[in-house]
Amino acid sequence: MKKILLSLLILSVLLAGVTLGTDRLDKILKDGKIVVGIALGGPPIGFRNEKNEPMGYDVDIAKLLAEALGVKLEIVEVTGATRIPMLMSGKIDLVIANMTANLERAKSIDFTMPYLRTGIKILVRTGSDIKGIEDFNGRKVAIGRGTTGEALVKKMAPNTDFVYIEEFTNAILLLRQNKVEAAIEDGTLVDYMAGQYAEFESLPTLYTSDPIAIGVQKGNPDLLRWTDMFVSQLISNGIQKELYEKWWGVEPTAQLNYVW
Amino acid sequence: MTFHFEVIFKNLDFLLNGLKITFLISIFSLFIGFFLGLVIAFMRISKSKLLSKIAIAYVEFFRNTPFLVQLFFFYFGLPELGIITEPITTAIIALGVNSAANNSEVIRAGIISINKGLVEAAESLGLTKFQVVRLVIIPNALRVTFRPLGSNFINLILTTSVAVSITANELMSNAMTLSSNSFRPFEIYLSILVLYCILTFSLSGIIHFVDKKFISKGIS
Repeated sequence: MKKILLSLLILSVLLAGVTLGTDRLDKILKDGKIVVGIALGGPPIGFRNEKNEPMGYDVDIAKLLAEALGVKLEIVEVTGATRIPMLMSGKIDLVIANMTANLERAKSIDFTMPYLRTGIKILVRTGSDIKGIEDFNGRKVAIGRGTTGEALVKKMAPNTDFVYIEEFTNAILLLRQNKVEAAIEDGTLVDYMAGQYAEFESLPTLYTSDPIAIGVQKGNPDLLRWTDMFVSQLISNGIQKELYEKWWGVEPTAQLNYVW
Repeated sequence: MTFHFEVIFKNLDFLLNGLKITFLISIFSLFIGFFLGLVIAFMRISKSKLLSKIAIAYVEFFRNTPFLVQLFFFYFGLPELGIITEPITTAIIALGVNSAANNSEVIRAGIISINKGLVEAAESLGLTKFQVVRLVIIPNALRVTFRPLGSNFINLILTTSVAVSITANELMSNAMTLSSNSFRPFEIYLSILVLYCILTFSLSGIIHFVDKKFISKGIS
């Protein structure tokens, strides 16, 4: 009995190895469906409209991608904290969630070439005495878990009182209810919110220049190659620029380069 | 698949800091839940129709609405009325008033189960009403309800993890922070499951010990 169980165990491990061996691109094409993790934390990147439909820059990119692949798009909502674990465990095929490509993350997942460039900025209540990250020590600041902003604040102002949020829209609420004194996020979100509400302002300093890229599970070279080429064409045929202008109302701050 | 548990040991202080907050929230909300539950149980069985109706409304309201929504109402809703809220105190109060509703039902059942003759005997001995409650009803009711109350307390400790959603930096929150920086969800969540287990097992150990040594002693 024990021997049978043991051999069954070995067999299942081997079979799991076989299924892991196939590239995810094959699975997507075979199923006729791609599952994309998108953060719907707030406009203009990703949000839900009145009809509860996902909208935004990242959603548009995902729609174009599914269209180019010729498969159905299934959107799964992710947050800053869940997007990488969900991709690594194979619950989603791709992450298009305003994610900065950095070397630390690239040890765990693969990145395509950037489809957007942004930098970390600070949002404060209008007239605040906070002028930069240096003023954060001993004060409450809304930060997303595992974000570029968190790493930056830990380095520049380690005594900050970290208030962790799941979505940037929560930062607006916390700022308004005086529960935090500042929020730190990508400039794309910070500038958008400062433009929407007169009670907030975006500080001028741009702390980083971050490439925003699509995340792919490691071990899927075909899917990575295809997605990379898709992004390159999005830039070369001008669609990326059009999308940026559609959602931000201005020309992109940084020019993206294409390969193909 | 390789596991890297050194991420836990390197960040043990950070996780234990979270455990401290979880412990703090648990202890304070446990006391609020118990004493408020006692008050509500007595309101519920009181002869005053008004008090009893208030108690019923309280219990039904807190038992028939999701805890997460109650928590968000306290934390994000009340400030709109000018009430300033802070994550840890809000978590303690929300957990306390919520568990009071569950505890009061358990305590009420204990009070009802007391033999009427016991109360009458105490009254005929000349004890005042307050003395009867303090010396006869409460000890006897708690004797019967000690274990079910204990399971309520354990539930309460486990529910503290929901406080992460209102930015309280407790055990679950610190685990999430660590997980999103180290990308080691398996090792981290497994470890905090063990930490929660230690917390609840020690509580149920204490409950078992107290029950055996002092409460169920002599009852057969």
